[in-house]
This record gives sequence, C-alpha cells and structure tokens, in this order.
Amino acid sequence: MRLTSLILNRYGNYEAERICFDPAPGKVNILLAPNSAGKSVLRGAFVDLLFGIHDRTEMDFRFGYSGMKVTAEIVQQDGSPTTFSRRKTRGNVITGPDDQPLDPGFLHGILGGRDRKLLERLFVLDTEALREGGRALLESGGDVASALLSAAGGIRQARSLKRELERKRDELAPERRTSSRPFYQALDQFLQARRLVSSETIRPDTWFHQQHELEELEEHRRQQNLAAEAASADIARLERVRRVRRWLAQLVDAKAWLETHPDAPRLGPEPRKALEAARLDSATKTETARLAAEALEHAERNASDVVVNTNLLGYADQIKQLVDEAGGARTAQADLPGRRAEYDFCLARIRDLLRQLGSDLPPERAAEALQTRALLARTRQRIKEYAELAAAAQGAPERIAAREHELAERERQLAELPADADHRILEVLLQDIRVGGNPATRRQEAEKSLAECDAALSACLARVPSWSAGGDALAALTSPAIDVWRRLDADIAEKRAEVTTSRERLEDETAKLEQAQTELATLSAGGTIPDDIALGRARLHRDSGWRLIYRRAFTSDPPAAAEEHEFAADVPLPLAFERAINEADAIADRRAVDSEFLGRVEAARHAVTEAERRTETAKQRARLAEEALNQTRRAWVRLCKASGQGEDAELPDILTFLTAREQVIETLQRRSAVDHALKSLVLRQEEWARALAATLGEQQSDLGVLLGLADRALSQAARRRQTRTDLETLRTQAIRELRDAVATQAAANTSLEAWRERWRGVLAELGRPEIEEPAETEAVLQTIGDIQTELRDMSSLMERIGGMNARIERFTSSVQEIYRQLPGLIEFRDPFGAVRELDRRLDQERASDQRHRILRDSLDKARAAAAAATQELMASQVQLHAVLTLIGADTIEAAAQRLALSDERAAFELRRDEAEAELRHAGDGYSTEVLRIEAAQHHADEDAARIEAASARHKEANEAAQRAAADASRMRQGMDQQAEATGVNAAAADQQAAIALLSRTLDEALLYHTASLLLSQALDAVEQSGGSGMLRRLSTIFQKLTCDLYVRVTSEPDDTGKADLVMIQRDFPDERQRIGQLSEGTRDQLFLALRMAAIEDHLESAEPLPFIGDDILQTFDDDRALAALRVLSDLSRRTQVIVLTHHRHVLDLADRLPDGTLFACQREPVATTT
Amino acid sequence: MATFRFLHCADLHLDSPLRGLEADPDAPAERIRGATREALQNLIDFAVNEQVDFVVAAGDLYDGDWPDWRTGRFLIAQIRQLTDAGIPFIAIRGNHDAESVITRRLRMPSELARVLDHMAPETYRLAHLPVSIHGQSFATKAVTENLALAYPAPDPERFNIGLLHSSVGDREGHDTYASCSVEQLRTVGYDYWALGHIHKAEVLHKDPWIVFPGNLQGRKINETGPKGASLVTVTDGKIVDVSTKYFDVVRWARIDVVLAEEADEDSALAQVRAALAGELENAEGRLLAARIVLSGACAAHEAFSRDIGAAREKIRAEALAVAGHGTIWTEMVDIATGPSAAIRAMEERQDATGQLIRALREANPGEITDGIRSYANAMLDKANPLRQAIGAENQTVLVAQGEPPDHLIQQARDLLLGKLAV
Repeated sequence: MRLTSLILNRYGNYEAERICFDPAPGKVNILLAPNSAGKSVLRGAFVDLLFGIHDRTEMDFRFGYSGMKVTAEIVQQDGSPTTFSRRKTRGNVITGPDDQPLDPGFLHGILGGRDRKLLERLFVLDTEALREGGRALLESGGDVASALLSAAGGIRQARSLKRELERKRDELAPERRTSSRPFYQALDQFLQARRLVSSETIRPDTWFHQQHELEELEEHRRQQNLAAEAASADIARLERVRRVRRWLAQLVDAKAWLETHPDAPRLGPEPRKALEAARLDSATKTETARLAAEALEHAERNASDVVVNTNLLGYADQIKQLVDEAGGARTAQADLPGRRAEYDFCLARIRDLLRQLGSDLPPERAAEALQTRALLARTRQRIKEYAELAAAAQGAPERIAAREHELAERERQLAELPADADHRILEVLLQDIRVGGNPATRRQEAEKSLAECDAALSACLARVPSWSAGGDALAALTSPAIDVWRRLDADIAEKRAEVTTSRERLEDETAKLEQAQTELATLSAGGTIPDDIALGRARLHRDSGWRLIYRRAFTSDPPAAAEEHEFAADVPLPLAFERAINEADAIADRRAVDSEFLGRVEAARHAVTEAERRTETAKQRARLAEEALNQTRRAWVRLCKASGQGEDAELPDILTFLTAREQVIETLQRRSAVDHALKSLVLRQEEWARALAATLGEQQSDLGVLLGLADRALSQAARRRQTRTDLETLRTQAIRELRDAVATQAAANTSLEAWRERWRGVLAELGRPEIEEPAETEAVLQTIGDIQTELRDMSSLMERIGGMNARIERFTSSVQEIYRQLPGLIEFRDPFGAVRELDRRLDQERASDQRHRILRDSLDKARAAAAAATQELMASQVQLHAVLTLIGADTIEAAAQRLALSDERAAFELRRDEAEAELRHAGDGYSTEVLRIEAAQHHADEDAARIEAASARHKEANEAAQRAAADASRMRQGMDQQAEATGVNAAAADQQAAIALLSRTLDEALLYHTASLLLSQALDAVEQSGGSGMLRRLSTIFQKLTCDLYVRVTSEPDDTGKADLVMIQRDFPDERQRIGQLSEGTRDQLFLALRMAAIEDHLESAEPLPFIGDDILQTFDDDRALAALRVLSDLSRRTQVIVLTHHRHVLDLADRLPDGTLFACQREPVATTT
Repeated sequence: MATFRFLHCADLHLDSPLRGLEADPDAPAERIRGATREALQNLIDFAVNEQVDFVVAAGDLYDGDWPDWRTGRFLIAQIRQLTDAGIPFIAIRGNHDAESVITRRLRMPSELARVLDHMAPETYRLAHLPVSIHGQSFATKAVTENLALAYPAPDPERFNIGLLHSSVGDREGHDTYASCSVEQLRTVGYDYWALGHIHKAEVLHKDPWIVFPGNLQGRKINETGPKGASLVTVTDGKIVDVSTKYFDVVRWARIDVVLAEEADEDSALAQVRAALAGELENAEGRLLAARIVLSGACAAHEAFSRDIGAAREKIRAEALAVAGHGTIWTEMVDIATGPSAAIRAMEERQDATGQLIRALREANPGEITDGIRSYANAMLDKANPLRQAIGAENQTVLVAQGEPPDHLIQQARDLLLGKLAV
C-alpha cells in the first residue's frame, strides 16, 4: 500500500488537516515541519490507523476523544485507490468513505498478519531508534546474528537473552562452586542435616546399654539402702540402752526405801502450807495492831498546827486573769509613742502633696481634692494612646526618604548592567559534547578501562598455571574441550579404581592362598598318614608274599630261596606273609580310621591349588589394569604437554588452567573493544575541539581548556542574567515599600488629630489647663496617687492608737477594784507591781490549804486502821489451833517432824514413778524386763563406741545409696532429655527441605541451561541462513551511504569461531574494521543499511508498507545525507518512503536528487468532521 | 454375639519426614515434622475415646532405614495408652519395618499388645471377644512368596481376621511383596482381611471384606487426599459397617490449573485462588501441602516466561494470601504452561523473530544433548549422595542417566517463545 494522503481530525495537535503524499514509486516524500509541529504525532497516527487507536490514547491532549479520526487515501498493490478511516469509538472499527464499516478482512489483506510491534520496529525509524540501533551493534561486538536480528525486527538482543539465561542458571547453580548460590546453599544444608541426623540418632543398642547401666545403679542403690536401714536399727537399739540405764537404777533405789519405811505418813502438801500460813498470819496481825495505835497518836498531833486565809483564795481567778492581761497592757503602753509619731508624719506629707496640687485644704479633708477613679483611668488611657500615635507620625518621613533612596539605587544599578549576549549555538554544541558525560572524564575512564584491562590481563595471565608465553599465545593455544578432559580424568579414575580393586583382590587371594597353605601345613604337621601309594605298595608286598606261598604250596614252581629271602629276609615265609598282611591291613585301617582327616587334608590341598589358580588370575588382571591405567595416563600426559601443562597436572589443575585461559581470552577481547572505543573517543573529541574553537573564536585546541572557556562564557552570561533578574525584583519591591510608607504617614496624622480632640475633653473634666501636655498631666496623676496612699496609711494609724489606749485603761481599773475588795493589802502606784504582789500572796495561801487537807485525811485513816487490826488478831489465833489438830500434833514443833517424814515418802514415790515413766517413754515400747536384759548385754562404758561404729556403717551405706541415686537420676534425666529431643526429626525434615530445594533449583537451572543451548543453536542457524543474501545487500547499501568510503561489509569468524561483521575501506583493502572501530555516525549508517536490507528482505515475501523515517539524517553530514536520500529513493521503488524532518537543508539536499524524485509534502486544512 | 468395633490401620511410617517441602519460615514446621506422630495420636485418642474393642495394624509402623530409638519409644508409649484402656493392639511387620533395628529391640508394653510371629502364621485369639486374628510378620524386607497361602483355616464360631502386608498383585508405585490375589484371599474363609502396604485406601472386596485403609498420614505429593484408618463394626458376627476415619494432620493436594488460551496472568492467579479455596475447604482446617501445577497454552505464558522464579513466588504469595499463614505449605509451583496461539503464530511472521522461532523449532536436540547431560552430571557430582537423595524420578537425574531430554527441550523451547514475545 502507498499513501496518497493522511487526514487527521482532532488527533493530537491536528484539528483538521490533510497531508499529501506522492504514492508513485521512486518518489521520496519529505515533510518539512519545525519542532513540535507534530511529526511524531503523524507517525503515531499512521500506526493507529492500521492497528487501532488505544482506549486511553494520549492524542487527546488538545481536542479530547470526541471526533478523533484518522483517514488514509491509499493506492493498493493492484493500483486501485481506496479510502478508509479509523475513528476513536468503541470497537475502533475501520470505515469506508461512506462511514460504513469495512470488511474486517480488508486490513488483513494489507497487513498480511503483521502486527503493530512489527510495523513500529521495522517500518518506522527515528533518530533515537537509529542511535539505539548503532549502540546495539556496538554492544553485540559485531555478532552477525545479533546484528541481523536487531536491525531486522528490533527483537531484543538474542545474545543478551542467551546471556540472561546463562546468568539465571548461574544465579541458581553455577558449575563452579559458589557458596552464595541457592544450589550450593541447599547442598550445604543437605549435607549438614545429613550429618546431624546421623549424630542425633539414638541407636536401640545405645539406649538399652544405657538402660542396663541405669538398672544396675538402681540395684546398687537398693542394696545400700538396706545396709543403711540395718545400721540405723542397730543405732536405735544402742541409743535406747544408753537412754534407759539411769532410769533402771533409779527405779531399783526408790522401791528399796519404800519397802523399809511402811509407817511414813502421806500428809501431802496442804497441812504443811496451812500450818505455815496460820503461824505467819498470827505473828503479822499482832505487829499490825501495835503500829496502828502509834500512827493514830501522831496524826492527832499534826492536824492541830496548820491555819489558812480563805478570803484571798476566793479571789484566785480574778488575780490570775489580771496576771494574763498585764503583758498586753504593758506592750501597748510601750508602742503608743511610736504610732503617734507616724500619724503626725502622715499628716505633714498629705499637707505637702495638697500644696503641690495647689489646694489649701487641711489633711483631714484631702479626699475632697481628689477626682473619680473612672476619670483618672480614662486620662491614663489617652496618655498611652498619645505615645503610640506620636511615634508613628514622627517616624514616617524618615522611612519615606529611605525607600526613595533605595529605589534610586536599584534604578542606577540596572542602568549600569551590560546587555545579554546570545549563546544558544554554544549551548547546543556543549550539550552535544557532553552527551554521555564529561569528555575528560570519559576519556580518563576509557583510558582507565584500558589500564584496568591491561591489569586484568596481567592478573589473568598470572593466574594461568605454568604459563609465561603471553596472552596471545595462550589464546592461540589449542586445548581439548573440558568434556574431553573430564572423560579422560574419569577414565583414569576408573582405571585407577580397577587397579586398586585388582590389587586388593590379588592381596585377598594371596592371603587366602597363604591361609590355605598354612592350613595344609598344619594338617600335615599333625602326623603322616600313609597315602594311597603306601597302601598300594603294602598290598603289593602282601600279594607278592601270597604268590610265593601259592607257588610253594599249590604249584610245581616253588620260589627260589633267593626269592623267598628277598621277600622274607631272615624270617620264615608264612611269618613274613602274615606280617605283610598285617602291615597292609594296618595301613588300610589307619586310612579308614583317619578318613575324615584325610578328607580335610585333601580339601586343603584342593584349596591351595584353587587359591593358586585364583591368585594367578588376580595377578593377570592386576597387570592388565595397570597397563590400561598407564596407557590412559600416557594419553593424559600427551594432552597436558599439548596444553602446556606439566605431566603431573590433575583435573583441577586443568580446570583451573582452562578457566584462567577463558578469562584471559575474555579479557583480551574486552581490552580490544576498550582500545577501539578509546581511539574513537579521541577522534570525536578532536572534532569537538575544532568546532568549539571556531565558535568561541579561540586558537586553542585543547578540548578541556575550550570547554572551560565555554563554560566560563556561559556562566558569566548566566550570572549577568541572574543579576538583572535580582535587581528588577529589588526595584519592584522598593517601589512597593515607598508606597506603603507614604500611606502610613497620612494615616498617622489623621489619628493624631482625632486624639487631640478627645484629650481636650479629658483636661476639661480634670480641671486642667486646655493646653496642658500629656506629660504634665501624667505628673499630676502621680501626685493624686500619692495622696490616696497617704490617706489610707493615716486612717490605719488612727485605729491602732485608739485600741492601745483602751486596753491600758481597762487593766488599771481592774487592779483598783481588787484592792478595794481585799482589805489589808499595801497601797500601790504601779498597777503592774500590784498585780505581781497579789500573785505571790495567792501562791502562798494555796500551799497552806493543801497541807491542811492532807493532815486531816491521815488522822481519819489512822483511827480506822487501829480498830481493824485488833479484830484480825483474834481471828488468826483461832485458825492456828485448828491446823495443829489436823496434823495430829499439839505444838508447832511436833507438827514439823511429822511433816518431814511424810515429805521423804513422797520423794521416793516420785522417783519410782518418774523412772517408770521415762522407761516407758525412752524404751521404744519395750517392757522394763526386756530393757533390763538389753542393758545387761554389755557394759555402759561400751555404749558410745558401739553407737559410733554403727553410725559409721550407716553413714557409709547412706552415702553410697545417695551417690547411686544421684547417678541414676542424672542418667535418667539424660535419657529423658535424649528421648524428648526432637533434633533428629528436625534434621530429617531439614534434610528433606534441602533435597526439595536442590531438586527444584537443579531442574530450573537445567531448564535455563537447555534454553541457552537451544537459543545458541538457533542463532547459529539464523546466522547461516540470513547471512549471505542480506549481507550482500547490506554491503551495497552501506557502500552507498558512506559515499564509497567503505566498499564491502562481510562476515569473518573471530578468534572464538563466531561470525563477526567486518567493514573494508576503499583505501585500505587489506584492513578489517570491526563495529567497535567505527565512528558513532558511521555506526548509525551501518544500522540504517541493515534496516534497509532487512526491509527489502521482508518485502520479498510480504505486501509493501510505507517506510517512515523521522529525522533519521540528523547526524549525517551533507554528503552522506544526500547519499542516504539516494538510497531511500532506491527503496521507494519497492515501497513508499516518507521522510519527516525539521531541517530545511534536507529539503535543499533532496533538490539535488534527479528530477522528479523529491515530493515535498504539503499540509492543507480540511473541514472538521465530528 | 454382640456388637463390637475395631480399627484397622496400616503404613504409619512413624517419624518419616514429609518429602518435597522446601523450607518455609511462614509454615508451622513443628506440626509438619511431627505429622506422622500426631496422626497416630489422633488414632489412639479416637480408639480410647470411642472405646473401640481392639486395633489391628497391618505393617510398616516405621521406616526400616530409620534407626532412631525414640520412634520405637514413642510407638510403645502410644500403644500403652491403648492397653491401659484395655484395648488390645495386634500388629504385623511389613517390608519397611521387617529389618529395622528398632524392631529387633521393640518390647510390647503389655500382654494386650502383640506383634505376630515372622517365622510362620500366628493366631491371636482375643480373650474378651470371639475374635481370632491371623497374621504373619515379614521376616525380611523382601518377602515375595505368597504368605496368605499358609494362613490357618478360620476358627469356627469366631470372627476371623487376616492381617497381611501385601500388594495383592502388581500396583503402580508400589513394590510387589507377598503377592496374592483377591480370589485367594476370598477363599480362605476369613471375615475380614486387614491389609497394608498400599498407601491409597481401597476396598478390594465385600463379604468377605478385603480392605486397604491407606496410610495414616500422607508424606509426599503422590499421597494426596484424606488419610486415616478403617473403622469396622461387627454385629452378631457379621460386618455391618466399614467406614473411614481421617486422622491426618497435613493434607496433600495437587492443584491442577488448566489455563485457557486467552488466560492472562491475572486470570491465572484468579484460577489458582479459586482452586486453592476448594482444596482448603476439603482440608477441613488441616495444613494443606499443595503442589500447584499450571498448564495449558495461554497468554499468561509470556509473563511467566519473563521470570519463572518470580512467577513462582507470585503464585506462592497468592496461595499464602488465600490460605493465610500456617494453613498452607506450597510444596511446588510447576509452571508447565505453553505459549499461546498468538505467540505460536509468531513463527509465521516474515521477520527476524519468525526466523529465530523457526530456527528454534527446527533445532536438532541431538546436538545439545551432550551439553545438557554434561551440566546435569557436573552438578550431580558435587556430592556423592546427591543422586540418591534427589531420587531417580527427578528430571536432572533422569537426564544425567541418559534419558532423552525431549521434554526438557520442549520446556526450554516454550520458555524461549515466551521470552521472545516480550
């Protein structure tokens, strides 16, 4: 399809516009439009037209969704014109010119299954995509497959995908052990859990062994407990004997006394107590009666000596009250003069203040000269207002002057600023130079990267074992693949194992042989058993004897004497024959008897033979295994030598070597790329320096210096701009402040005038002069305040003086009244002295009265006591007589003898009872007779030693039992802890968890590994299938784009065998340039060429679609831009080409194309449709 | 003859850890570790609380290669609870516990508990009920002869139970031991054959009843669904009911989510949620150990392929969100989806993507098989016990052992298709 026009209604910034194109083959359509004029919108509209407007398209930013519509007038492949539209409605249907939906297959016929992604990635190209493509080519390192894929469809870099897959695999389970990776973490967990399961397991044997030990300990504890119990019983018995010995003796003594005094009375304690009490009572009562008579006589004498003044005692309360009041009266009398002086001072002060106010009133009437509180408060308020208003009015002119001065200063500074210069060109240039960072830094980084590469290369080389020939030689070295090494190593290990096995078998067989030989020797040493030969020989000897006898007895051929002699020697022939029979039978019997032994010997011999055969076989196998091992080992050594490794190198050494070699090769490649990048950067920076120098008008060629100059120039311009902006802001602010100051002054003056009117009213109320200033009025107010204070003080002093006088007068009259009522007292002048005398006299009379009352009480008590004592004496004597009668005696002495005998009987009975009770208590329930027998078994002196011995036995057994119990407890506790521990279950679960993780991780990593291998294979296939045709076309287009500077693009294998893009320059046909060595612009052209070739390739099997290039020539110089236009012109014969640009010179360049090639697209308004 | 009830269990595999569960800090690890014990406790509690008349166990009380004595001690403690309650416990040894070191030392706690002889069939006659239990333990791990043939004739006038550890013919996923046929068992004349060895519950025959109760607690993903024991009710010498009581504490489930062509990632997650909700309901509050398998050619394949690990984690998180902490343990998320038709159609495109995809399709597996195998072997050689631990069914092990990696390559191809479509 080719576009004749594209009509955009309310789409993006287009309201209603038609853009016209020329659909003819060979035409390059160029639409010139400035920036922001809607080139990108146009591109999007074309794609939306074909694939639908998104539900939430961003193209509604000006007109909204309503009426959004894109219409295309096209010429189809068969040349027929068609018009169709896409409207932003639900369903996004395609409609024809009559707004009726078209057949859904209509677009499919045009698109042929191509989707939006494909269109955007193949047929639409803008500056950014072009630059991105160039970068992708650089990153691909020239990889042909990646380059073709990248240019021909924009799919993600397939090699990156491969690397991503490998990275994902290695993040899970890299072949080299990396502890942080999940596989190895899980592996470590698995192994640890496995070990833990083994160590935490309690084996049944272990458990039962422990249980057996526990049972033994328990038995030992029981035995010791029994021993301790026996010792304990012994101790109890001995202790009992020791306890009861003295009580047995006491019991015997008491019983003996009681038997010898049967007449001793049992009076008990009561008669003795009664006798003693009666005797003591009688003596006490006699003495008491005598003392009571004496006391009565003495009391009567004392009571008659004391006299009391009862009149004075009757005024005791009044006198006490006067004594209390005397202190207050005395204080009042002392303070009175001071208070009077203060009062006089107050009067003088008020008089003085009244004079200050101009009043002649006496102090007592001073209140009449004072104003009301409300008036005074109002006056103070007015004075306060005045202070604020006066300050505002006075400061206003000064502020206005300051603002005017500042405004003039800002105007002057602005006038002095120089005009701004235009640095836009310089800014654009600097922006270009600094895309990607600071040039110097980039160069330093590039140089640093190169140095790092060198260092890394050295480090990598240093890690290569036994290698000193340098990196290139190492890279050139041919070493078998790692699988070969592994296989060989596995072979060696296997053969080594075989050797070990065969040697072990040989040793085993040799040992068995020696054992069999030893057994045979042992059997043989047990005694010689005649063998079959000996038996045969004996039987032959017997039979030859029989033949001689037979010949002699039954034939006519008797044996010769010599024959007989040969057989029988010197004994008769029959005897010799009998001996021969016996000998043969004996041998046969012996063999029969020892047949089992013979069998064993035979078996031993057979075993020896068999062992010898097996030993020989084992030797043979060992020799063969060693030969195989040596052979494999020689192959290993040959490979080692070929790889520059020593003969003793092992697989880990080889792995290390190969890994190190790979790292060296990677580092070499990285260094080469970095080196190319550095050189390219240097060239670009030189170009920038020249451009900068021209713009700045400098002769300098150092880019850094030029950048500094440019920065300085831009910085100075920026500073000037900033200064101007700042000054303008300050000027505006000064104008605003000046206006504010003038307004403030006017307001202050108005307020002050109003205040003065109110002030005059106040002065009139105060009665002050009309022109009095607030300051003077404020002094008057102060004086009035002082008068009020003094009046309050004077009033207070008058009250206090009156009170003091009244108190003194009350006290004096009270004293006089007392003196009048108590005749006989001395006259007084000082009432305070009189009161003191009264108080002293009152104390004396009170003491006399107290003494008199005590003496009278004593007399009454003495009389009563004398009568009672006489009566009690008589009763006591009657009681004493009754007690003597009870004891059975006439006198007190006889009664005492009978009581003593009775006491002795009671003591012995008590000792007897006590002994019996103690024996019951200490005898552990045994009878007195049993206890006596126990005590008689050994002497009392042996008690302690016997108890000590038993205690020692008890202690020893007890300690042993405790030790056994503790050991058993510990052991039981340990076993319980072991039994309760769930560590082994936890470890087993952990082991399973680790296995699960291992399983999943391995499967996932293997999937990534497989995908990586598969993708690698597919990429190789793409490279092989797409390389030849596309490469030829790529080469042709690139040659045109570079104005024949490059004559060929081809692919050559790199060091690793991977196909790599190389470019050949016209002037250096023998040199090969790789992508990393191209300038950025040339890389862009290479990518454009790749895209062109890809489009051509695509169009081989698909309907054409317009190619839209949006400012794709921006980075091309004029020659190459013209060359690109020619290439696009060629492409336009296959499909329509539309170039969008904001550079007029592109249009000018296109004018240089052959006549009729250029079509400058026009935009024209159309009627709005809704 | 009055009514009596007995429990028939088998394949307890005490302390055998649950397999295939990766460590999950959010999951109740203790509960999972002790699942087999807890299941047995549930059975014992049920037997004591419900006062069943006796319990029979048809072998494999624990694993033979598990030597920890604590397991035996625990078993004895549990049996003691039964015998203390006056409930006899009669068991035989199966292929797993025949050679166990624990077995040789195990002593039953009471006369009411008995493990039947392994030299010849033995009959245990209950004292309090007219019930005879005939059985023979495995003498070694590999008993292949038909033990049932030598079982004694039924005791007349008694209820006869045959206790046998056998596969009863060949059964997928189980080794064949003490092989016999249903017909052979049927003709012995017993009333009930209490079988063990097959971990899936199954009634092979009624009248006489020949029953596999399944194992007591599922231990891996191919032991899904409810697990427990059979409760048999006998009235007047006739079985009137055989029902299953579930004692498992962790319920295994394989959740297959088949995605339709148009299903995108959100739709896939929604389907996972719905499927999970159903399984959680079936688990009735038990911890669910689930394998989530997504399959089908679908639009979501593209998003899954972008980062398989992240997709798995997303689905795990989804599962956790649906189930809540402590109620689910996602054993594995298997993303076996395929590219949608739209992605597959990319192959027809005339651009580079189409070219690359065609190349992927036409790639020769033989050329990369060595590379795949080499990697698999290299990883498996990192530790000696690795192959055995992971198991012969693991894909990496299969590939390393020479199995053609066709399925793996197809998976890789699907993965690449998804990634190239991004």
